Amino acid sequence: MLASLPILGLAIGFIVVYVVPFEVSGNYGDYLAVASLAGLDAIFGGIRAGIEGKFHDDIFISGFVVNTLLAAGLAYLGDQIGVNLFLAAVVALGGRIFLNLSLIRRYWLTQAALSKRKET
Amino acid sequence: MSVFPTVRSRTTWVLWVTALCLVLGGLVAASFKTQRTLRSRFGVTPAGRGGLVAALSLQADSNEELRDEIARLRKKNTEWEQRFVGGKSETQTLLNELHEARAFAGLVPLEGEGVVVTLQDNKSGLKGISPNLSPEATDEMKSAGLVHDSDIRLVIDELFAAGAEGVAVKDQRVVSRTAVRCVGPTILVNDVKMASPFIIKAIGNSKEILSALSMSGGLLDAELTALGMIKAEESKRVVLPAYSGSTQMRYSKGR
Repeated sequence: MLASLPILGLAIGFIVVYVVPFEVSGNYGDYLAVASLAGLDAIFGGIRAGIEGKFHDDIFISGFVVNTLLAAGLAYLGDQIGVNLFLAAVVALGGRIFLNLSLIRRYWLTQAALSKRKET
Repeated sequence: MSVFPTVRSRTTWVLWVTALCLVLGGLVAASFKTQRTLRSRFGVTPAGRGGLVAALSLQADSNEELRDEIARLRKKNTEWEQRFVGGKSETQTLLNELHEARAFAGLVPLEGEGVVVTLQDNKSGLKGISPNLSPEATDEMKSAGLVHDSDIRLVIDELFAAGAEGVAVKDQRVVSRTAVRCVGPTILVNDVKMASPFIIKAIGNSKEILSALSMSGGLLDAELTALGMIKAEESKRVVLPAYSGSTQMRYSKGR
């Protein structure tokens, strides 16, 4: 029940912005995409920390805000000086997302195995 | 030992994650909408081609501005001609003829009663595709659900044949130099890219045009209607924009 809340939040946020007739200009599409990726990374990082019992709301929120802005800002800076930092951000963030996801998956599998052993 | 003294309970951190998931959902939705617009406008997405798409996007905006500029200058031109005439009746006759020629050529906006035809891709028609069909048959069914340049040409021809005095496809006026053709997933009319739905407006006797379209064997009687891809309705007031492309002649001389 509790675990489904974040998914619900994601859906509500998506629908609200999707329905609002506001659109970011195509010129900034890249920066928006990399900011979304940084947000995704922060969320998975937060879930992992929560599972490991190391969650701190201040780290989590500041991480989310700063990382999204920084990712978009770096991609913009890269465009200005002619270096494809967009790609660097995608690779770095993508790697972290996969790492966090695999740790979350391992934790859940361990939990499942433990609870099964308890039952028998 | 952590420098941060308080470790939150399970409920707290899940709630925090939920709150930021709300924000993330918004970000993803905004990103999604932007990409979708880019795809429908240019047929490409920026993944890996960011710079190109941004440049294309800027260029498209400036083209639009220039087209408006042309319309404005043509209107100004007409005003100056009017002023130049003063009250002389011979020049006034000449000017009237000029205006008639311009209206015929599609260089001035027109309004009047007419018909609005909408052509639309039918994506749900693809449900009929099953995996045991041959690849050729699958391609054919996918193709049948899309509006092609030939469909648009057919509608334009049919409208003119039924006595339409002016036709515009998605606010691009159809004139003697108009070409309708497809480039990849988009269709070009007057070299302007557009995608489904195609709203084709025509000025003329709406009853006559509608009956011409719906006679047996006509456009509304054919496959397009069966797939729900064409719709025609009369309109009391249709407004057609002026042709905004180039009218320069480089190779031909009048005789």
